[in-house]
Parts: sequence; structure tokens; C-alpha cells
Amino acid sequence: MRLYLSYIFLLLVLFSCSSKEEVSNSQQVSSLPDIQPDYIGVTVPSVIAPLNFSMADNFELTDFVFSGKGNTTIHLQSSSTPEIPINKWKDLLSENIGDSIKVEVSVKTENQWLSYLPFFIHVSADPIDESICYRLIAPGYEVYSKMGIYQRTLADFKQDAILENTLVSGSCVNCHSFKQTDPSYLTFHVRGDHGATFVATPDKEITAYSTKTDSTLSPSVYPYWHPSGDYIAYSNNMTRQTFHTRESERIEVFDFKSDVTVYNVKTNEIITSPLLKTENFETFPSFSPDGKRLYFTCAGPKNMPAEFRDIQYNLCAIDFDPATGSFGNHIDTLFYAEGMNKSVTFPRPSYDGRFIMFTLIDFGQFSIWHKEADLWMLDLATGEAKPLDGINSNDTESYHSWSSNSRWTVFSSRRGDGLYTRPYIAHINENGEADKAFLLPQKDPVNFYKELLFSYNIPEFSNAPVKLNIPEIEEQLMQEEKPSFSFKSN
Amino acid sequence: MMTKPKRIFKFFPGLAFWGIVVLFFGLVYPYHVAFHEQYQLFLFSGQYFIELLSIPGGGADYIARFLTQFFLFPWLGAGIIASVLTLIQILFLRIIRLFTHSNSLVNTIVSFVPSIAIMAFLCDENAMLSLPIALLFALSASLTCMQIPKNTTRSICGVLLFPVLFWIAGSASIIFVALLLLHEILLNQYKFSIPKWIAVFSVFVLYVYAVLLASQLLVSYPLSRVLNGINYYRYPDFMPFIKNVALLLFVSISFLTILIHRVIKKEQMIWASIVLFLLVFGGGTGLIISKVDTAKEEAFAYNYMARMHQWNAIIQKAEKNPPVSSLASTCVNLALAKTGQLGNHMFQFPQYDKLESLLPKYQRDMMTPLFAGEVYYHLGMVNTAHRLAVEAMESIPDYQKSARCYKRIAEVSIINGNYKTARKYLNVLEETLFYRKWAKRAETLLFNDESVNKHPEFGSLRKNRIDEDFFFNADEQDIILALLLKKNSTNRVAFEYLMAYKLLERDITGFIKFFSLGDGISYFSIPVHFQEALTVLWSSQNKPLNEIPWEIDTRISNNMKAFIAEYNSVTDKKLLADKFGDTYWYYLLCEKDNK
Repeated sequence: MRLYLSYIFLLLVLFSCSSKEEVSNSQQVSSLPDIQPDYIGVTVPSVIAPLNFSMADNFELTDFVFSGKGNTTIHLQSSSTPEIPINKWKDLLSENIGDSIKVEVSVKTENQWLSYLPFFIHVSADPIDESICYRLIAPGYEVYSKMGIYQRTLADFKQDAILENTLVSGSCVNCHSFKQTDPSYLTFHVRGDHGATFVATPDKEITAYSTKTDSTLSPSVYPYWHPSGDYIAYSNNMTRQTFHTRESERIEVFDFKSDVTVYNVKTNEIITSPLLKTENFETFPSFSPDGKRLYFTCAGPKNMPAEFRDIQYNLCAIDFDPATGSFGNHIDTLFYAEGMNKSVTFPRPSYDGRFIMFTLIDFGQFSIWHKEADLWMLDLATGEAKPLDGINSNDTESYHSWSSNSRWTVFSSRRGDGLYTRPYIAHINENGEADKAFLLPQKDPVNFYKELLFSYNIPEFSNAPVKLNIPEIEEQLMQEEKPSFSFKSN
Repeated sequence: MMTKPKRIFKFFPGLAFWGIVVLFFGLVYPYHVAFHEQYQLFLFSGQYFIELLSIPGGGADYIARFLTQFFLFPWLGAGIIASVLTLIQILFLRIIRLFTHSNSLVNTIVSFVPSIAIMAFLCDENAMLSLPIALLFALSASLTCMQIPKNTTRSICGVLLFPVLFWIAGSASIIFVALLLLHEILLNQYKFSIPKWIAVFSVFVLYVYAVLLASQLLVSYPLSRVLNGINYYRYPDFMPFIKNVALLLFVSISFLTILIHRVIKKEQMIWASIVLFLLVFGGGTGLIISKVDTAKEEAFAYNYMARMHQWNAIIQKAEKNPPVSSLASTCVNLALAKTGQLGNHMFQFPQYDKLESLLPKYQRDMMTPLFAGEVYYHLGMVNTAHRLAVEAMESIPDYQKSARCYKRIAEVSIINGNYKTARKYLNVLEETLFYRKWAKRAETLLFNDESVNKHPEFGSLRKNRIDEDFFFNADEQDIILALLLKKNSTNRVAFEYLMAYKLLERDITGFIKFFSLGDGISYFSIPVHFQEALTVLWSSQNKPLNEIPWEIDTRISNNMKAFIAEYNSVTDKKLLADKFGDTYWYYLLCEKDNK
């Protein structure tokens, strides 16, 4: 028996030794390798899962060497996508925090090795949150099939379902929101015959609410938590969608009316201000990190849908007093997009209070269907806004959110195939500039994203695992009568 | 040793049943078989496999979907269904033989009952092959367990196997527990007292319930769905009664067979066999007949033929039996337009619900958008065809994707020059069995506008696309059709649809307004129905027909005179149907909007 085991061991050793071919007489190529996903020159957090990648073209063999200033070197050879060993990768990252990992790629073609210029992956010293949460949904028009809200830990490739719409047939789950990445403060919507908005805080069991009141235009959407956890800003929108006949544009989603409201979690009341309930179209609210301002986008009234190309939203703000739940007496315009013949969506303030990141499009508010959609950064200290050149592409960049330390952003982009949105993560430095973004790593990213039939939607950082009691959610959804938000006029 | 005739006799019932099922699904229900294939996208990928295996019943679903991809060829599908049903019968026969320790004819006859019930279940176009596959798993496991001689090993095996089986096959594996319990009762009937049996039974029920609850905690499905079988039926909130009857039959038939063998004497068995044969054969035939839906089969047939571009076959079928539904009629109109005959023959066939037979309005289901999508695609309104393909696919109630829709989306993406998007869909199709070749071929067109422009189908459809951007409005499709003609004045399909649209609307003024748009299309003579409309227009202006400025066939002018004469002489206008039912005049003046 021992003899057999020895043989097996010997065979394994021999196999592992002989599996790598020496890169000899290599010819130097004066260009960087064409790899997919493109991880050349990206900045990553020190806990990120291995950035597996492969050459865009097929070769007999590809040789990859990852090295840094420490002792750890990873040497792999493969004819497809090699899987970087996770423990060695972690060592390599931790040895190179604040520095870079050098990646050397050689390919073998027609018995000749070619070596490309090395590239670098920068390892930031800025920490990142534990996971990201997102909805997975197939790109569609009016009808939706299977979808769900999922969480993915950033240090490895593990994805878990938080909630899937299979729980109640014909339902749609959307708009999950945490308080500054803290999922113990949670809200999300379930739409459909048994629809409801769920709200949970550490002091309050998860509860399904009916959010439509007689005084609001519609059920509450686009939630954003107040930093105290006592309020949630919502928008109430009368939304329609219609379809273009020309190929370059597919869907137009627009509001006939919209208002911004704030929900008091403790008193179960909706509060608003006459300044937010006007003929203007107010939408996409978010609170400043000190909780004393409410940001939102606002457009002058238009005759919809006839003037759908003329509606342009500006970035505005109103004061908010969390102690009394009252609003200021005037509205400030922080970024006058109309002046640029543009429109603002998804204003998201950094949690350090320095910046507001937003999406800029030509018109309207449904940026995901706008190819020209780009991410912009507004410096609240200087009032200057500029595009995030490091992370924008010539396709759609839309939804985005901040990490809890305001040093990372995760955003959705259609740059891959022009239709399916994928999550990209980018480092933001203290000046509000973005380093090159990287696609969420996968074990075998090329095949994973090739085979994935869903888009990533509403990517949000989360600093802890999200756990829902699914039978409890189902029970609450199936209740005929659900508690309602009440409306309190300011 | 068994003699040759005996061996043939042994296999004959199974073979006969297999043959009957093949003939039924191959001849009577072929398009129900093909119907399934278009609502799934079976991928040879790890992700697809893992995703299915992450739900109870996923193993059965995976095999069922693997087999369903062959339903693209209805005879092959019929063979697969027949084989699965026959296997169920064989396994069940072996189980009841174990119960009765007999090879009697009675066993053979009753062993077909559950298979017949499942066949009836499968007559429903939304009944999935997952259930019979799950039953194969459950019956095989039952038989394997029952054959373990040692009591303790058998019991442990049963207890351990159930959760695994439940995860692989889903809730149909409950019959595994039921059959095993029945087997144990038979084996140990004299050892235990009734209270002990009640205790054993209760423990098993609790065990089954615990497995159910535990599995529900692992997935985002309601308990009722897990209990009913997640993917046994396409619609999640409904399960046909026959499915539960079929499951119950495995236990009740087993029980009945045991009873028959104990009560009926050996010499009376032949009579019992005859009676049972008549009951099973007669009842089975009646049950299947009651489940057959010929109207749906007809609609599915037209849909299949339109998908396969079998335009002449559609017309031939309609000539034999006029279509009985609006969706079927949609395909006939499309086939006529594709062969340049819409203006000549459309009123030979029923036109339902005014414009619905021409351009069906979008409905939130998985069927209508598929029918309508074909029309829009061939007209050149490829973006609408794209949207309808997506809507049809996203409407599939069991959350599957559709290879047919993926293909259409890829086609439209190529036509529109959205090559990156097209590649995404083609890459997925390359992981299928029957679309791989097409996808590989289509991939050679990517980023090559010249090749796309030269492509016989994509090139002409690219040329037909509208340049103007506006919001799609289902109530103003005549405007859209006119714009298609403005873009390409030789788009014959669009012209015939526009004219047919106005004819069906009974809008003669609109008809004549758009008539000149067809100047760019070469016709040997003005199509018959257009001539009929022109004669109506001219006559309504009280002008003599011989002065009509268009080339009207003498036969048509004479026919019109005859129609007017008869129309004025009869009270019941329906009497004109025999002679003039295939004319526009009859549609215009005698037909109500809804047939």
C-alpha cells in the first residue's frame, strides 16, 4: 500500500514539474498584451479576488508571471484562462500594498515564444468594503423573467442570492438600498400583485409597507438612507416607457410627473416641502453625509412625451433638519446641466462629503438606455464638475455607488458588448480623480460573462453579509393588507 | 428458458405502446412537440448545469431540457416522449411484479395506466418533460431499494436516498417513499401491529416534510411550488389535476394489483385481464382524446412553419382547412405576402378581428409576440421584431430563455450593425446543439458591413429599415408601413401589408391614398383584391366601370356587376358567401368584424 502511495506521489510530483514549459529564445514584442478582461494598469484593493484573465486571441500556450517587491511570484501556463491560486494571490497583494504587481505575459505561437511588454496592477492601500450587492436581470422591455438581488464577496468569487423573484410569481425585486453600505439598514421593493416596500433597521424588524398614499403621486421609488438611519428619501414618479423605431435608440423611459419625499422610519410618515412638490420634475434624491442637505435632480415642467428630448435635469439641493424633519426655504442649483444642454441623473455624494458623483446624459433621466451616459464628479469645495475620464467609455456608464471610505466606486457599464451591464470598480483618489476601472473578477471571466444572460443592476457596496428570512418575506408579501406609509404635510 | 414467441410476447405490449405514442405525437401532435423547443435554451455550459442543479428537481430538469432540444424535429421528439413513457411503464411493471410475485397479464395491463395518465398530462403544451424524467428517477430508485435483501440496509438506503432523490428529481420523488412504504408493509405485514405501522408511517411523513422544508430554505421558492414540483409545469401558479392523479396512480394501482392477486382466483384472472384491458384501453383512449386541443395544434403548426419560412406549406395547409384562429391567420397572411399573393388571395381565407390577422397587437404572453414578431421582421421593422422576441422570451413563465428568440435578437443585431451585441448572443448560441452551426456562420458576418449588405436576408432587411425615429404606436401602423415604403419603394411585403391594412379597415379613401406608393413594385397585373377595391371606389363615385383609369380585368368587372345584382336581391347577405366569399366586396359589405 505504501509503495502504491509512493508511486502516486512521485507521479504527481513529476506531473506538476513537467507541466510548465520553459520560455526560451523568446522574441520581445514592443506592445502590451491584448488581454480580456482589460486589467492593464488598473488599481485594485488589497483584498480583491484573483484577476484571472486570458489573451484575446488563441495561442498554443500562454505564460503568465506575476511578481512584486516581496518573495511571492506566481507562474502559470495555460492555453486558455489560467486560474490564479487564491492564497498565493493574497500573499502577492499583501506584499505589494501601496505598490504594484508586475505582470509578464509570453505567448507561444508556431513553436516561437513572444514576450509582450510587462504591465502593472496597482495595489491600493485604501481598504474596500466586504462585498457588493446587485440585481441580476435580463435586459428587456416591458416584461421581466427571473431576477434577483445577490451579494458577491470581493475577496473571492462567492455569490449568494439575497432574494429572487421566484418567491412570488410575476414579481419584480428592485431598488435595494443600504445606509452608507451598512445593510442592517435596508430597504428594497417588490413589485407585482403582492408588491410592497420592505424597510428594516437594527431597531425595527423587516416590514412590508404599501408606500402609496393619497397625497403622493405613486409608490415610493429610488430610496436613499439618511446617515442617521431615521429617514429614507424617496422619489414618487409617474413613469411611462415607449419604444423607438430607430435602431440607435431602443427605449425611452420618462416621467409625466415626479416629486421627492422623505420617509420618517420611526413615525412611519412621509414628509415633504412645498418646494419639492411642484410642477417641476424632482427625482433621484440623496442625503449629504452630514444629513443636513437633500440632493436631488430637477427639471422644469414639460409636455411629455412630446417634449421628451427637451427635458433636462439639474443637480439641486435643499437644506434638511433631521432633528425636526423640516426642510429649508430655498433650493440651490449645484450643477446647471441645462446650460450644457445635458441632464443629470443619480447624484451620489461621497461619504466624506467632498464630492458628488453623477451620470450625465443628453436629456431625460433614464440613463441606462443612453449610450452617451458618462460619470461626472462635482467637487463640493470648488463647485467644479468634470468627467471621470479614467472610467468613462464610449458606451453607457450609469448607476454608481461609493465605498464606505469614499475611495472606491462601483458602477455599471455597457462597454463590454453594448447591452449587458457589468460592474466595474474604480479607485478614487483624494482629489476626486478616478484610476482605471476593473471588471468584477471571476474564476473564468471570459466564459462567465460570455455565458451570463443577465445584466448587473444597481451595484452597491455592503460592509457585511445581507441575510433575509425568506419565508418571513413571503408571508408578509402574501398578506392582503399591508401597513401603509402615512403622509404628513410640512 | 423463455422461447422466442414468448419473448416477443413479453416485449410486444411495451413496443406497441411505444409505437402508439410515437404515432400520436408524430402525427396528431407534432407541433405541440416542437412548441416546447422554442421556449428553452439548453446550453452545454457549466453555469447552466450548476444553475439548474441548485433547485430541487434540477437534475430531472437538466435531462428533460437536454432531451427537449431534440423536439426541434417533431418525430424525434415523439420518439423520446414514447421512450420515456415506455420506460416508466417497464419500471412500474417490475415494481408491481415485486409486490405481487407474479408475471400475470393483469400486471402488464395495469402497468400502462400511470404512463397513459402522464401522456395525457403531456398533451398540455405547458406540461414539461421534467415530470416523467423525475418519475424515471423515482421509480429506478424505488426498484433498486426494494431489491436490497437486508432489511436494515434497505431502510438506511431509503432514508438516505430520499433527500438526494428529492434534490435531483423534485417532489415526484414522494412516490419513492410511498412505494417503499408499501413494499415494507407487504414484507413485514405480519410482524408489526397496526399502532406500530401508524408510528412508522408518521415518522416517514414527518421526514418527508422535514426534507421539503429544508430544501425550501435553500431556495427562493414558496413551499407550495417546491411541493408541486418547481419545473413540472410551465406556469408556476397552476398545476393540472392530472399530474397529481398520475402520481397517485402509482400507489393506488400497486395497491389494486395486490388486491386483485389476493382476491381473484387464478382461473378467473383471464377474465380480469380482459376487463382490465378494455378499461385501460378504452379509458386511456377517451382520456387522451379529451386532452387533445386541435385548435392549438393548428396554431402551433402555422407558427412552426412561419419560423421555418415554409410559406408554400402554410398556404397549402390553409387551402385544405382554413385557419380557425387569428394567430394562425396571421401566418397565412404573412405567407401570402412573402410569396407575393396577399393582394390576390387574402380574402380566400378568414380575416379575424379586423387587423389582428395582419398585425397582431402585443400581448403580455409568450405566444402572440412570436407570431407578430415574424411579421415585423419580414416587413423590415426589425427593431419591433427584436422587442417582440425579447418580450416573448421574458414572458416564458418558467424563466427559461429561448434559442429561437436569441437567434432572432442576434439576426436583428447583425442587421442593425450592433456587432458586439450580436456576438454576445451568437456566443451563447454556439453552446447549443442545433444552433451552433448557424451561429458560427453568422459570426463570420460580424464587423463586415459589406458581407451583411450582400446577405440575401439581412442585406435586404437592412435596406428596408426606417430612418425616421418616432415612438412605435400599434394604432398607426399604416403610417409605419408607408414609411417603410418611403425608405424602400420596392418593399413588396410592406406594400401588400399597407394595402391589406386599409382594405381590412374598410378605408377605401386611405387605400387609394397609399396605392401609388406601389408604383416602384413590378406587378404583372394589379392584384385581384386591389382591383376589387378600385372598382368599389370608382362605383361609389357613380362613374361607369368602363371608364375606370386602372387596368381592371374584365372578369372582375363582370363579377362585380354580378355581386351588386345579387347583393341587391338577397336579404340574407351570408347567402353570397358561396359565390363571393373570397372577394373584397363580400368582406366590405357582408362580413362582420369578428368571425
